[in-house]
Amino acid sequence: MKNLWWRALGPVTLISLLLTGWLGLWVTPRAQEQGDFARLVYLHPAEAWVGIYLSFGTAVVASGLYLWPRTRRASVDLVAASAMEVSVVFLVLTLVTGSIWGRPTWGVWWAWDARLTSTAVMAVLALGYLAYRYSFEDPTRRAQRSAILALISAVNVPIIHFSVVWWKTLHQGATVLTPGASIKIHGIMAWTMLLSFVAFTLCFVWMTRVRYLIARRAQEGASARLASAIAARQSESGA
Amino acid sequence: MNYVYGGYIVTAVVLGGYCAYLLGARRRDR
Repeated sequence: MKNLWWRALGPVTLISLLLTGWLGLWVTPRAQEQGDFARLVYLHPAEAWVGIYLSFGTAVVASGLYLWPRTRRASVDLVAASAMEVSVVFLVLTLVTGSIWGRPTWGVWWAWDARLTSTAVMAVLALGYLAYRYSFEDPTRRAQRSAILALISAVNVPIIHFSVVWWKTLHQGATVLTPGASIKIHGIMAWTMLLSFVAFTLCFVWMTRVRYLIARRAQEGASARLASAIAARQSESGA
Repeated sequence: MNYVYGGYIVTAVVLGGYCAYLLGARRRDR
């Protein structure tokens, strides 16, 4: 049953992504103020949700679990690394689609605005995390050091979230999670936006799982190679 | 509308490319 769920995840994710694209591009109406450019709202916020909160958050939680002696497992470290890699993909998409939206609405591809800059910093931190991991040969040291880096990087998450409140920014404020809980999107536009969040969340689960399985297989292969090298050395010294 | 199509195309290419990379690596594993 569990296997069936995992097998269905890929096709369900693909269908929900295609449905989001179809509804977003051709079914939803033009927005009153932003016209067709508002159709990017079915991509950009959901990509930011996955890149900033879901993937990065999963990597941070898994890193915290790794550093906690009771929950320290090699698999937890691999989950952190896998989620961080997926986070890089979605952070890049967040920045690119935001930039594409910014050009016709703000008149510039990029502005050194608090929200944009803090998101770009997060993308650099996530890339730095992956580069830092590859600088260690020893898996235990690699896991410990990168977990610490992930926890330090987590400081940036509330900065991104509250940047539109703390500073006067070009980036618009919240559309759904507004302080007064007054939702500014309705009808099929709201449902399509909700579907985009579901689709990208499923996409994150699928990608992180597949990336984790690849990383686990690589680690098993490395362990097997090490064991056979030790056995070969022992038989040489015994002979 | 070109900007909008651009955003959707970039998303499809990046996600599709990363999925292809993952599936290729998984196939090599087997």
